[in-house]
Amino acid sequence: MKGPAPIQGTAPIKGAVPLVELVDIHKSVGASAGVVKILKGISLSVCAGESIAVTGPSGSGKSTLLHVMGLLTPATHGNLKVGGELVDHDRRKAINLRRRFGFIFQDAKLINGLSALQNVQAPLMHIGVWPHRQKKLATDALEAVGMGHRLGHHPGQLSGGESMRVAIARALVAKPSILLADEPTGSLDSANGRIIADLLLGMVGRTTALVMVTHQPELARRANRIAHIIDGVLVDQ
Amino acid sequence: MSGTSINTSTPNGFERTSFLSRVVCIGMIIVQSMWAFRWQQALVLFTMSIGSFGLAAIMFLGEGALRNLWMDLDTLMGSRMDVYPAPGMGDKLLQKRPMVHFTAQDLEYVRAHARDAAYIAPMFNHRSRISQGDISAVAQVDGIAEPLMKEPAYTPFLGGGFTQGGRTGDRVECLLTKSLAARLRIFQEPLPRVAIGAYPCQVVGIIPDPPDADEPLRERMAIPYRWARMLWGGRGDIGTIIVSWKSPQQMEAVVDSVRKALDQARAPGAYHFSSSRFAVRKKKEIVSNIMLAGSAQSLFSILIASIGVLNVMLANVTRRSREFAIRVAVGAEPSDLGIIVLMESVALSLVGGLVGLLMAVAGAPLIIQALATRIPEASNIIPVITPGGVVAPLAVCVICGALAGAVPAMRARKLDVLVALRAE
Repeated sequence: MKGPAPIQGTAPIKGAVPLVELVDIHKSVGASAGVVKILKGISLSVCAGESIAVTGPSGSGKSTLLHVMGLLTPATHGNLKVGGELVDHDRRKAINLRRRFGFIFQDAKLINGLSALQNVQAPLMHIGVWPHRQKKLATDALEAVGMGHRLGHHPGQLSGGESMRVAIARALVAKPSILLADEPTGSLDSANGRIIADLLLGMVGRTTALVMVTHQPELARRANRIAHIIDGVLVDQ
Repeated sequence: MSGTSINTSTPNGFERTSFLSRVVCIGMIIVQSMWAFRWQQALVLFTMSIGSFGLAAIMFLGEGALRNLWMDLDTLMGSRMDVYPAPGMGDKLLQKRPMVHFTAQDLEYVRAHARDAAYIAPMFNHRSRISQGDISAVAQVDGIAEPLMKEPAYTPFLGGGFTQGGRTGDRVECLLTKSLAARLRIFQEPLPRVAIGAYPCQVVGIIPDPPDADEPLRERMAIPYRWARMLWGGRGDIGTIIVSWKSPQQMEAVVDSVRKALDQARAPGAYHFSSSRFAVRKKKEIVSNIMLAGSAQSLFSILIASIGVLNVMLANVTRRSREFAIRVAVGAEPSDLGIIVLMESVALSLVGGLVGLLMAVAGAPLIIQALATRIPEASNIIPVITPGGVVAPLAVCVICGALAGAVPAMRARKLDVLVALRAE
């Protein structure tokens, strides 16, 4: 099996075991209406302590790469390893591996009808954490992102920046290994965008990594690696 | 493996959770979702509760009506039936035959063959003019044999009742019902003599009116069988035969044995039975049929409500596909989504069922009150809450809810996460 090709200008942290390893990943969609190839042989590895910015024009396959990496959709072809474990057709294994990722979407994607606290509790509920612990962990996570004073507020009562901070708390609450952020500052003004970027990059530590899709060069420059995709192919930057 | 990496086999502290904690969490999600979408689900809950209310109310009221009927039965004059020497009214062919009276041989044959009977005795009934001084009235006179004299219905509340001489027929004595005594203006002791036609007779007691008898039949008189037969009996005619049983459970056996004995002694259909118990049984059948029809209607409304639940849950899955996709992204298993939708449907139906049940418990007495304004007898019915009446509506609601939730649950399981996330 071929190893992942390192991206020019960036290098994995020396000696680190990749948290995620993509090897020659292809992704196609559609059948009767014609097959569209979105990813064409992407190879990439993400190690602990890294922050990677995925950039590229619209429709180049950045979000799809994030979804494939986060096991939300299977690759059409290629090998994907999470924490050294090869992702195969075992659904149970895939679900357990998916819980190592924390997702942050562009428009926060909070669940309407639930409060900020309940939204942050949601990942813990699906894991099966006891309610009293859920509440404490969720409250701690919200306080960590400066939202401790808005626990009972619903998505409609929060601003874009606040919603994004709740979404970050939700992504972090189950202590994931890798944060996957899809244009986290895309819908925010520059001031809020900076706050969110600081928060996200501040979360990257010795045991976690961040992969974020962004169109904003200044945010991309703050990451320690940049992966540029054009038409489904990872190109050097 | 280098020391800078995380322990990849246990990436976080929550992977190993217990089954029980998962069940509790799924329950919390269901409660949260039901509360968050409460207004959308209110209509279904209302419809389901109406169905459950109907079913529960029918069962509570029906049980009360049935018990009321059996209580009526217990208060009837003993447990007995009259056997008449005439064809049944429903048999047109036999009605053309001349009436043939029962004979002493018929009575002895029935006595010899009827099993489990408390007693079998003859009885004479005749309408006659009764007078006391200037006052007179036409009343039904029952010639009763000794076993019947011991029945509670013939125990006087005023006067001492038949004497030993009266029972054997040595003395001419009679009992009057309260209505007849009032007609003859006899209200207190000492009790006077009255005349049956031209024959004088000493009144020895006033007995209660027969329960549930119409106005004319409340004016009755009881005299010893021997005198009645002497006054009105033709050659060999012993009147009717009274058959009594010791307990309600023995009724069927007694009736069957009497029927067989009379079929052999006379001819099939050349006699007919008359019993309050049969009337009660007929009423019971009517109540049961009403219950059945009401239950069918309620089941139908629950079925309609189930279609409503199905629609709401399908619409929920479509409307909540974004939420479900987010849940999958934050760690939910697709099977969790199926369970959540299915259990929401069941819970919604169960809550509807419970609301309906509570409405039935509270509303059944009000239904009785409303019925009693048109049917006075309905006021005697006391709604009875039986385990069956509680469990049946809930069980029907749960089953219907599960069936209605199955298809939406399958759809939720097979949700395309990416499509749902992008379909904003």
